[in-house]
Amino acid sequence: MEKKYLTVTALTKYIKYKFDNDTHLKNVLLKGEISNFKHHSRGHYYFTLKDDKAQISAIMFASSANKVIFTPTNGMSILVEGYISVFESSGNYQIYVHKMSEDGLGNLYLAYEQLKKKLSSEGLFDDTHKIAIPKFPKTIAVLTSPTGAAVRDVIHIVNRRYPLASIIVYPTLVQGPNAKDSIVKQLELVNKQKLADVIILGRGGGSIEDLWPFNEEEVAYAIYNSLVPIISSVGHETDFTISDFVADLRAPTPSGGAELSVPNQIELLNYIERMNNQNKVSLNQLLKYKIESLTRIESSYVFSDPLRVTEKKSRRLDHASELLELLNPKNRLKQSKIDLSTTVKRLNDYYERYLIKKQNSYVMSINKLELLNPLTIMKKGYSVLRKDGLLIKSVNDVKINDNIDILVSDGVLNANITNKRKGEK
Amino acid sequence: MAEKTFEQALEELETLVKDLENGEIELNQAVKKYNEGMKLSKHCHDLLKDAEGVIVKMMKDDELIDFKE
Repeated sequence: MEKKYLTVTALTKYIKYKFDNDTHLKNVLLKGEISNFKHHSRGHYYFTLKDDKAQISAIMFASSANKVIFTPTNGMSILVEGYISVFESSGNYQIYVHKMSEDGLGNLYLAYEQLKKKLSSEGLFDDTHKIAIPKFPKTIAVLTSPTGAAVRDVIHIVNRRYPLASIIVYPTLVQGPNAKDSIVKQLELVNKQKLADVIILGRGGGSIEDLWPFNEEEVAYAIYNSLVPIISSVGHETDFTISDFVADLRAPTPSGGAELSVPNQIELLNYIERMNNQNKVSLNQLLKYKIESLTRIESSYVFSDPLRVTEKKSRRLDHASELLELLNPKNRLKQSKIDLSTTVKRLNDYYERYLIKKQNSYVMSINKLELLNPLTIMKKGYSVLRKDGLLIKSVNDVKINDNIDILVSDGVLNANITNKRKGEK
Repeated sequence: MAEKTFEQALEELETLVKDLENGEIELNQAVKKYNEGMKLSKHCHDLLKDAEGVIVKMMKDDELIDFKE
């Protein structure tokens, strides 16, 4: 006998017929938790209803969905009324919901809130425990699935922003019942190996169940105990997990985590450019300042009229000589021999005071001369004349045929006086 | 001398900017530092320009292997 083969369509039609004619499935009252909730642009709700052991796809058309007075969200426990039928093109059976009401908070949501409260009171979220993310990481540990879009996004972005870094992918289960152990194990491994200086831990978006490993207590402690700073990058912008709160930094998505992990080379180059410009400005200012100081010094009379310096000095020397003559004990004795001892005593006092004064003024002169640096003046072409080591300041200081020394900046010239004229230039 | 890392070069450049901003520096020192700054910034530029891209590895059974997407 020849076997008769059914088409898939024929079988599916038969199954659908069975579903549709079962009175028990025509009007179903069902309670469960929402997950994978999608609000279609045309107003239909698509979602999954589940408990801890089973799940069923659900659809609520816009005409009914419009009458729902609350906003269904993932994790919410709800009560629905509807009928079960088969959606032929995908071969799925599903519940067609026409009424929906709230059944308190979903268990997962409750668990999340409780754990969050507990860990918060234990201080796991405190800022004081947060480790700073290094500015220029050398090696980034990426803990996620090695096959998902998340790892590709992270590699792409790090490459674009900071190609000097390197990445080590630590393959990690990020959903399902084994995920939490996998995450904990890999976090501990990164900390043991010490190859990376920052960790990106995360995965792409998904239902609240998919993201649940990141709400597990063990994972929270492993993040807390990590000495390598962690950027938690789980799901989408709107998803918040316990990991986000414990981690050293929260990124909205894995791509966001990649951006937070490394600097942007364009910004770095701009920054370097700004520093170079600042250096130019600083150097120019310094040059300007030095030139101004130089101009000020050059215009000082020491350089423009060096004779004024020596004039001033010689006037002081003359004054000192007069004083010395006046105080000469011999002269004083000639003037009066009365009260010799008193006079001598006074003279000694005078002399002593004079010596101190002279000494002081000598030291001061030396200092001043040093500041003025006569060599600099001599380099400009002025010279100093000396006879027997004494400065020649006047025509009267020399006689014809005297040998004198001429001090120039780099040595001494010997000369002989052949002629002298007073008052001539 | 080993080549400076990007981070080291950038740090030196930052210090140098501060040194130069402080006007109490000798002129020849300032010129020297300015030239050093130009060298450092060129080094940073070159490091980024010559970078052949992020090296990606995978840790499998305690060993680093090449990562293929």
